[in-house]
Order: sequence, then structure tokens, then C-alpha cells
Amino acid sequence: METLGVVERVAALHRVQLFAAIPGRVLSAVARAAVELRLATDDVLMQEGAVEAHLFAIVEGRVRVHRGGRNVVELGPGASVGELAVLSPAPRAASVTAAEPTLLLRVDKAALDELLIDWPELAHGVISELVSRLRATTEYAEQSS
Amino acid sequence: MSGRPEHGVIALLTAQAVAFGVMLALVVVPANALFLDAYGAKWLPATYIAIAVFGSAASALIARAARRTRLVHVATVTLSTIAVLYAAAWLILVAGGMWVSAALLVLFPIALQLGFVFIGGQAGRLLDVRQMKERFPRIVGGFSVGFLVGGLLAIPLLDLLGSTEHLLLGTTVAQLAFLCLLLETERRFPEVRSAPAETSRDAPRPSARALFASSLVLLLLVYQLLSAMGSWLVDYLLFNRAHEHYSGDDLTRFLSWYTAALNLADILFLAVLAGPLMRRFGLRLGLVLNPAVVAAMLAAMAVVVAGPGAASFGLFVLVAVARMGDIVLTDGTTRTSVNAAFQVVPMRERLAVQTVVEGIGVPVAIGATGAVLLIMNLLGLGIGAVIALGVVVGVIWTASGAAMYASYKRALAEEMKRRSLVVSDDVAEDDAALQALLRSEDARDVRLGLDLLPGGVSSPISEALRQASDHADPEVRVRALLQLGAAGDGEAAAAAGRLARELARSSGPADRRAAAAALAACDGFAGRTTTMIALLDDPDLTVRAAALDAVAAEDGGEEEVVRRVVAALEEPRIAGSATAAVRRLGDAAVPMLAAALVRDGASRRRAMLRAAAEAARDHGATVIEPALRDPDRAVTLSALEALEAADGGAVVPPRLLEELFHDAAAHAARTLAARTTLAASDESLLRALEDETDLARRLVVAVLALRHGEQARHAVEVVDNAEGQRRALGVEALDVLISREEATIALPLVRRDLAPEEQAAALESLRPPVRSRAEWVDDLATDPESVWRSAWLALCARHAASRAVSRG
Repeated sequence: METLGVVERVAALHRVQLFAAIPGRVLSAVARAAVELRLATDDVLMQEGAVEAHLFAIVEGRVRVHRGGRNVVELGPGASVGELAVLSPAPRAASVTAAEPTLLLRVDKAALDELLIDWPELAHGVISELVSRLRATTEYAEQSS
Repeated sequence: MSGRPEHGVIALLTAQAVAFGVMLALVVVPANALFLDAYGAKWLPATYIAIAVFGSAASALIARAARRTRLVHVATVTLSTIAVLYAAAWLILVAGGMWVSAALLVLFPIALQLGFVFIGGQAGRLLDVRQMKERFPRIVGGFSVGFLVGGLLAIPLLDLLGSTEHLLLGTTVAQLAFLCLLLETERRFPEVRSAPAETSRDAPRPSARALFASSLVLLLLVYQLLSAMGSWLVDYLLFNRAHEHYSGDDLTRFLSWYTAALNLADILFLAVLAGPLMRRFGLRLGLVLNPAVVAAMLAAMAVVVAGPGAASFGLFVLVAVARMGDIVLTDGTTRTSVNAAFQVVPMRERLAVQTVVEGIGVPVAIGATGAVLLIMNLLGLGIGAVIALGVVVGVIWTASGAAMYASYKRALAEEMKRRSLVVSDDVAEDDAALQALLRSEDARDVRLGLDLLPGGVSSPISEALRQASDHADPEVRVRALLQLGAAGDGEAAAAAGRLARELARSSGPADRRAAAAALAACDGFAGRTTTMIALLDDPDLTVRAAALDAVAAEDGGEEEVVRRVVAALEEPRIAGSATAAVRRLGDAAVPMLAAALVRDGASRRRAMLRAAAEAARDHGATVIEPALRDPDRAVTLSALEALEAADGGAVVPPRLLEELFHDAAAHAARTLAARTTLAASDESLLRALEDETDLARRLVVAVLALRHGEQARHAVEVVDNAEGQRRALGVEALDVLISREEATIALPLVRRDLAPEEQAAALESLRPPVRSRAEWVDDLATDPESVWRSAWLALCARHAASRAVSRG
């Protein structure tokens, strides 16, 4: 089975919002540490309530996000699940199942933690993204109130 | 370079200026004609003094009103009042009251100044500083067109209406048109009312002392006073010489042609030269060109007076050219520059200062000029003395322009630094709280108490420390003993030494950490170096960090300690402690640090670069030069940023900084050229090039920060993060803080709002030869000239090439 090259892995990770602003030369370290995962149709990627610390970036195929037997959304290439769990693990809010043969990249918290220490630019990029989200949330809350 | 102002803003402001110009031409022609007919020229200087008195009073009223209400309200009331005055003057003249022509001559310069205050004030609210620099000359051009049209209108109007005084009906109509256009501007662009929350009724009124405490505001006042004096002296010289050479109808014909030529030159200059000149040279030229030209022309006049004599036609020509140059440059560069300089003055004070400076300062200068001219005439000093006075005024005026530009630069830099300050209150530690912490059973509380201990130890605190020295936690025990030892208890110090050696041999990391903490404050016990080396080699990172914290300057003599400290810089988790340890070791660490930095890959560690930058600050750039010359630009950037943080920029040879700046600029131009050629399908390569453009941008900014200090960095931050007026002010600040050559490269790179094509076009001079997509990909993949120097770029290029082959 053909595996992804570093360039393809970086391209996939660049589509993850958390890593979108990080230069490719830095993100290549994360790409090298990422694990390729191939799922067959109906394979379960994650279970609702499970406490895990992985981020998954979908490279090919589609996954179905469902909660309590009800489909929430379908995600395809470029989407990601578990972005925040890779930074701070929490029970999964929904289950995710492959809707067709799917190729994903998995980034583990332990690997990312190591890289965040070794690569200040990576840490800076992640923090900037989190701050942007916090600002957007605050603005939304202010507009709503 | 700046964004476009909202549609219609420039048109409306220009239309106001046209109506304003027509109105003034239609007041100056009848006022002069009627006054000269009735009283002759000898009393003209007396009107200058009246201008000072009434101009100051009128401006004080306007300034007072401006502080209490909005600009548009002040302008509406003022323009309406002036329209009523024109209509009343017409009635009085029709009734035979010629004295009102003197009042009109006095009103003319006051209306001129106030009109520009109102138009400039609106422009200041509707345009940012960059737009002001580029577009305000066009608005002022409207005034010149209006003045020309008004002058040309006077003759047919005179034929139509039959008498000179009836021209004032036209003046009144033009004034009302000006007013209507101002109200239309307010209706379409309500932000012109913006005023500023700060200028609300409740805002405190700035005192004159507060207003002029700023050197920039003071220089603005001085500059405009000298500008008015210089201009009126030249004006007087023209009429004086014209009267010398012409009389009767010939004089009228000359003045008509001269006025037409002057206005035409003014319009052409504003349309063709003023904008590009201001864009190219900005305020550094705009503030000195006018006074320098006037001073030079007056100096030439002085030479002619000394040679051919005051009656020569050459002098007359020089005077005519000088006045034309003065008017043209006042409209084209001076007024624009002064209005742009006002943008740095805080909004709350801007209109008040602007009104005081232009409305009071200028009339006073005119009055003073009139008084001096009257005295000189009474003393029979002649035209040569007037020219000599003009040279002195011109030179001081030029100097004040240069000083004002320097002050403007400083004010801009300060404005960039302005940020909200977080005021932190000192934490108050009191003995009772400390004792409670030190006596706690919880080791965390005791550690906090030990951290918060002040320099001196009181008796109750000593008791609490003795209690802590028996604590179950070894770190707490040893630290409490060390505190007691530091307070003079020799027995406790010895006990701390014994305990430290014992703990260093323990199998528990917490014990070994405690031993390291003891080393930090206890440098006199036997076996310190051996213990230190053992702890620096400890397998536990937290113990190593504690040992690094214990390294002191006197450990610099121990090579094995220094080697371990420098090596620790490469371990990110303890690099902070290692950097601080290197700082304490000082000179002793420099040779090993320099050697470590040369080793491949070591310079990628930020901590090592930080330590090297600090060493460079004290020992010269040699220690960090390998990193600055590293082929990997990311390493160079880290080194530059570390030098900036360490305040070590001064040690870097200027030639090296120049090389780095040009390498970064060329790299930016290359990456932009490649990006605009590659196909959208080369997604990864395009992204890698985008990252490289950003890297080049950061390198350029880092070099600028080292060359020009934190002001340049602040300006870039403002350009990056601010919007609207403040962002434009950031671009303007960069423009004046850095050199022209630097700005040509840095500004297009710093502005993230520009598309890559626009950035590439702005860096035209650095653009590499045109290449096809395939040639760019091949160049990036093989890098035959070692210009790209990026393994990641090469990898992405090879990937793009292989995809192209597989698609083909």
C-alpha cells in the first residue's frame, strides 16, 4: 500500500485550522511524527464519551459524525476531528465512523507536545490560532448579548 | 500606496475649495480696487495690523466654539456669518460707505485661513494620513481653479452689473455655495461630524500651556508664523516693485496677467508635480522646500540690489518669480505637509491647535509684518533692508521646517508606541501571612513562603524558618536552613551544606533538586564542583534545571561545568535555565558558546542564539556571526531577533546588516516572482514560497529593528494589526523612520493587504529574469546558485515536478 510523502502530509495538515498558519518547513516535523490510518467502510474512528488525545486529518474518503444514532455531519478531505483534544483531552462529544474507505493522518498528543517544545514557531502558530478563536468567540458573545 | 478614500469625498471637498476660491477672488478684486481708489497704497500696511487684531479675535471665537461643538456646526455658523457680512458690505458700499472696503481687505485673509481650517478639518476626518498626502494637493488645486475662475469672472460680471461694488453680490453667492457644499458633505459623510468623543461638551478644555507643551505643536506655530511673514514680505516686495515699473492701466494689466500666470502655474504644479513630489519625498521635502526656495530667491535679490541696484528689471523679475514660487509651493507642498503633520496631534487637541495656529498665529504674523514695514518705511530704510529682513526670515523658516520634520518623526514614533498600560499593584507581603505560609504542613505553601521572603528576616520569621528546617520535605528543609544561614546563622549554613551533599546522593529526584537548590545559595562547602557536575549530568531534567539555576559566576573557572551549561542550551526544556546560567558565567562561556554555535544544527536552538546574542552584546559580534551568516535564513532571523531582544544590534557590522537586508529583499522578490508564475495546482510549492516571502519580510523587519530601534518594530506592528487611520499612520511612521531606499523595499513587504502581484510590482528593481513555470520549479529543486537555501522548498519543488511528470 502506497504511503503519503512528507509534502502530501504537510498539505493535509495545512488544511487543519490549528496548523494553517504554520510554515511548511516547521509543520514537516509534525507530518513526520503523524501516523497514517486507513479505515474501511463502517470502521469506527472514535466513540462518543471516550477520552482520547488524537487529532485526525482526513486525506481521502469521508467519515460520518453521529451522536446517539443520529447523523450530525459528514466530513471529507481537508476536514479534521479532535483538533482541541490533541491539546487538552476531553470526552469525545460524538462518534465518528468511516462512510467509505478513508485515509487519515493521526497526530498524537505526546508527539505534538514534544514538537511544541522543540519548535517555538509551531507553538506560536497554535497559540495564535487559539487566540483568534477566543477573540471570535468573545466578539460573537458580545454581539449576541 | 494608500487605499482609496470613499467615493465622492475628494469631489465634494474639491468643489468646496473651488467655491471658496471663487468667493475669495470676488472679494479681493473689489476690495483692493475700492480701497486704493479711496485711500491710496500708503495705508495698506495699516490693514495688516487690523488683520492681526480682528483675525486673532475671530479665531479665538472659532477655537472656543470648536471645543464646545462639532466642526461642521462651527463651519456652518462661520460661513453663514461671513455671507451676511458680504451682503451687508454691498449695501453699505451702495450707500456710499467706502470705509467698508478696508474692512473687506481685513476680512480677506481671515476668511482665507478659516476656509482652509474648515476644509482641512473635514479632510482630516475623512482621509487618513497617507490619503491626505496624496489627495490634499488636488483639493487645494480646486481652490486655485476657483480663484482663477473668480478673477476671470470679475470682468464680465462688472460689465453685467455696471459697478465694482456690485461684484460683492457674486461674492455672497459663492460664499453660500461653499456653505451648501459643506452641508452636503456632512449629509453624505456623517463621519465628518466625528468628533470626537473627546471634544464633547464635557471634555476638559486644553490649556494653552498643555497645547503647546509638545515641541511639534510649538514648531507648527513657529513655522506657520514664519511662513506668513515670509509670504507677506514677498507679497509686499512684488507690489512695491510693480509700482516702481508700472503705473495706471499698465499696472492693472500687469497685475491681471501676473495673477493669471500665477494661478495657471499653481494649477499645473498641483496637477502634475505636487502629488508625485509628496509621495516620493514626503514631509522631509514638503516642509523645507518652500522656505528654502524663498530664502534662496531673496538671497539672489540681495545680490542684485548690491550689484545692478534696486531699480533694475532683474530684481523685479526675481521678485515676481519668488512670489509665484511661494504661492505655488505653499499650495502644493507646505499646506499639505502641515495638514499631514497635524494628523499626529491627538484628535482632542487637533482642531483647537489648528485654529489657534492658523487663525491667530498667522494674523499676528501678518500684523507684525505690517508694523515692521511701516516702521522701515518711516525710517526710509528702502527695499534693500526689506530684502535683508526677508533673507533672515527665510533662513529661520527653513531651519524651523527641518526641526519640525525631526519633531514630526519623533511624534510619529511615540504614537506607534502608544498602547494601553496595565498597571500592576505591588504585592504586599506581610509578616503574618509569611509566617502562616512557612509554618504550614503543606510543602507547597512553605515553598511559596520561601519564594516570597524579603531580604531581611525578622525574629518571628526566623522562628518560622527554624520550624520549616524540620519539615518532611527535603527541599523545604534545605532552603529554610539556607535562609537562616544567609541571615547570619553559621550553624544553619553548615547544616545546609551537609544536607545538600547527602541529598545529592539520594535516589529521589526531589532530594537531588533540593541539593541543587542548596548549591544555589551555598558556595562554600567542600565538594561543590563535584556535586554540581553530578547534578548537571542528572538523568532527571528537573534536577538538571535546578543545577543550572545554581551555577554562579565563580563556576566559570570549572571547564567541565561550563561545557555542561553550554550543552544544556540545546535541550529546549532546560534552555531557559541554561541561558540564565551562561549569562552569569559571562566571559568564561564565550569560547565554548562560539564553538557550539559553529557546529551544524546547534544554531537552530533559540536558547543558544539568545545566549550568544547576550554574549555578543558584551564581547562583540564574532560569537554570533556564524548564525548571522548561516545559509538557513530561519537561523539568521532567529539570530537577528535574539540580538534585538538582547539590545545588541550595535555590535553587528553595518556592512553585514546591509548584506542581510539585500539578501532578504532579493529573496522576497524571487519568491514573489515565482509565486506569480506557478500554477494553482502547485499548491504545496506555492504555500512554501508564501512562507519564504514571509520569512524574507521578517528578516527585513528584523534588520530595520536593529538599525532603527524599537520604533521601527512598533510601526510594523501597527501596520500589521491596526486598521484605518492608525494603520495609515503606521505606514507613514515607517516611511519617515527609515531611509528612502529601505522604505522602497520594506513598505510593500510589510503591507500584508497588498496582493503578491502588487508586492512584486513594487519590488520591480529586484525582480529576477522572467522564467517559465518549469524553469522556476527546476531552479527551486536544484538551486544551482544557492539562492533558495531551503531543503523544504527543494522538496516541494521536486514534488511539484514529479506531479507534473505523472500528469503529463
